[in-house]
Amino acid sequence: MKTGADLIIDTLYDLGATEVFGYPGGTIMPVYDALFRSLERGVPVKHYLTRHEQGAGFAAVGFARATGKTGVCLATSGPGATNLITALADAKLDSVPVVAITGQVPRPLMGTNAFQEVDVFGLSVASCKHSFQVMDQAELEDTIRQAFFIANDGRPGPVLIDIPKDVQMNTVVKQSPLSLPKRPEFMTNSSQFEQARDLISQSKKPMFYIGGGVDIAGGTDKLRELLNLTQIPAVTTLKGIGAVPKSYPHGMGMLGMHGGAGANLAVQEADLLIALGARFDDRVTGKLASFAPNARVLHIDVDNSEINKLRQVELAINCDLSTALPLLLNELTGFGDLATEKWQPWREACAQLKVENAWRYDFPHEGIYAPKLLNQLSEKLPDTAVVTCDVGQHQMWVAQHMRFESSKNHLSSGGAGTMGFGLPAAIGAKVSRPNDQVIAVCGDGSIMMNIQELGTIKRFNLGVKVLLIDNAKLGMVKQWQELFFDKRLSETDLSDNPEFITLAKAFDIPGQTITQANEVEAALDEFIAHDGPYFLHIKIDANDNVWPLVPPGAANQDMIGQDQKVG
Amino acid sequence: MSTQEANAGLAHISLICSQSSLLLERLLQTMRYRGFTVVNMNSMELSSEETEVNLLVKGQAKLTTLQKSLEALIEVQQCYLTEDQAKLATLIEIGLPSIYSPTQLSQPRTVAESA
Repeated sequence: MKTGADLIIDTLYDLGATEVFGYPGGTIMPVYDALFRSLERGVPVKHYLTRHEQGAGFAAVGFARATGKTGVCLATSGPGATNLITALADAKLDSVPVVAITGQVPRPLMGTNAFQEVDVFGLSVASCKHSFQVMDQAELEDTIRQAFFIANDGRPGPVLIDIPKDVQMNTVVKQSPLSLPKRPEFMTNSSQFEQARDLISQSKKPMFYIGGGVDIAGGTDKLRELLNLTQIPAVTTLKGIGAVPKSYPHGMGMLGMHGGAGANLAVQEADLLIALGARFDDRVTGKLASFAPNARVLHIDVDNSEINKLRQVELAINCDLSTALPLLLNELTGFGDLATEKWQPWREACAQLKVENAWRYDFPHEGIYAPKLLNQLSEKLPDTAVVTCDVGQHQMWVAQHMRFESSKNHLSSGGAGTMGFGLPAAIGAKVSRPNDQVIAVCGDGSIMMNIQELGTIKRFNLGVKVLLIDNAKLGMVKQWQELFFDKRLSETDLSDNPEFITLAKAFDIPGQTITQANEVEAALDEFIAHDGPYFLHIKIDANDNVWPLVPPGAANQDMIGQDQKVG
Repeated sequence: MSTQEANAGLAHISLICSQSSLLLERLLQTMRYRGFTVVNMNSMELSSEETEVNLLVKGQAKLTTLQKSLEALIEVQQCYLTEDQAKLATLIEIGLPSIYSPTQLSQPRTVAESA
């Protein structure tokens, strides 16, 4: 006879979730006991013990984002479960398929303020795509299968399953029938794509606006065919980075608050935005009323609630991009000649904007200039390398100065902007892609939020490389204080940071600190070549800021600091 | 103040949902998050599987975004919304029961739109 906990492990195994992240505790102990016995029972599920539940949550996110598979994390009730919530909220905002399983106090104790009882089921309402509380062991398998389905269906997102301890311990005598919902079919029709073709062919200045939804839908290959066919200029969001290949001559890079000036100015001139899996986020649009003021909008997205939410569109197609892109491609076949001739002046104008606003790295700089270093790192890495980020200035520098061949190789907390994301996300990425180079680019503020996960890296000897960009400040907040709060630097000084290399060595992870530009080349080579985890600590000038910047409430063409972008 | 003025910004939403212990919390959270307050509501169990929920909501945010967000919830099977002032007046007068016939309720979800 199986227990509920055995059935949980069996179902995870059957669903292919053979690597999970978590942290044990009182009410999830039956599941951990079943994990312990999973190998001998012939359903091996490998568990990665993190040092904090938030680490487990972000590792699951990193695992999912680097592969497209479902990430799984486990935690106990009460504080264990609440520690997962930030990672789940992050997964919701970035549309990441994650299933979180939390223990709950036994059913007779529920609602009594029992030890480690928190209503995590209620807490999950705002942070998860869906959530379940399983009150009968007969429903466990069906619920877990539904959770995996929901996490991946349509716009992906996190699903929480809260399971009382006695439900885990009870013997499963019979099971409820499986009730997996049917995947809804999108009723697209050819007239929509004919209209899309007409919009595009009427346009003189079309621009692809690529969001994270393209990669999530598995649409990157078709997008690239579309780009090759039309040669239309393209900008990406933070999460869309990597969808447009590095070699595409009309790729304009990232747009938005810290986007490239060329990308932002080109979008402002466009007469048609072809928005694919993007959501007109405020960090992208700046002042909404002034965003791409001359453009009609063709919006294709799987989430109907994103359509016309912020920007009224000319034509909306509510459809999974894996379905829509082949149809659009089919509709545009034969565009080759038109594309070559009609849009050439527009392509040349975009190319000119790119040249005029190209990143420069020749600013005289005694210390280490992080954008240049990241650009050097990018040049040295293979196309298969995965880079995770924390949140802040270093995150924007990665987005601006590193180049990626796949959105699955650039894992950055976009919607939630969660500091502390990078290190545990790198753990998840490395577990899912053990043969690929995985680098966590962290800030000195962010890394301290989940620094304990160095212990996880060491425990499993994961070859995660940590590149710490240290300006002894909460740099992005400091930058805003300088610009918008009359230089009142309130609580952003971190000059009392720990000695990071000593800290890394305490976890038995080797590393070095560099402070001078002439040390960069050799340090990066050693960093990349080192077999196993490594910690490269880079001290930079705290006066270096991220440019350009669109001030809050300003239009994207009114970005500031362009003249300072070289230093 | 005329009835029409009093009802400005009001909308009635009728939902057929699958049963879930978190259903009402999720519906109310969605209303609040999308910028609406609930003026009145009732729910009625249709079967062991289904519940009908009727809500009168008020707010200045986009109703279409609210409607699409509700439709995206796993539990919501059908969603019918009206801002029609005459219907609203009737609904308020009779205490907000569902006034929609099954045929009206079963209209398909919006799967594509052209604006």
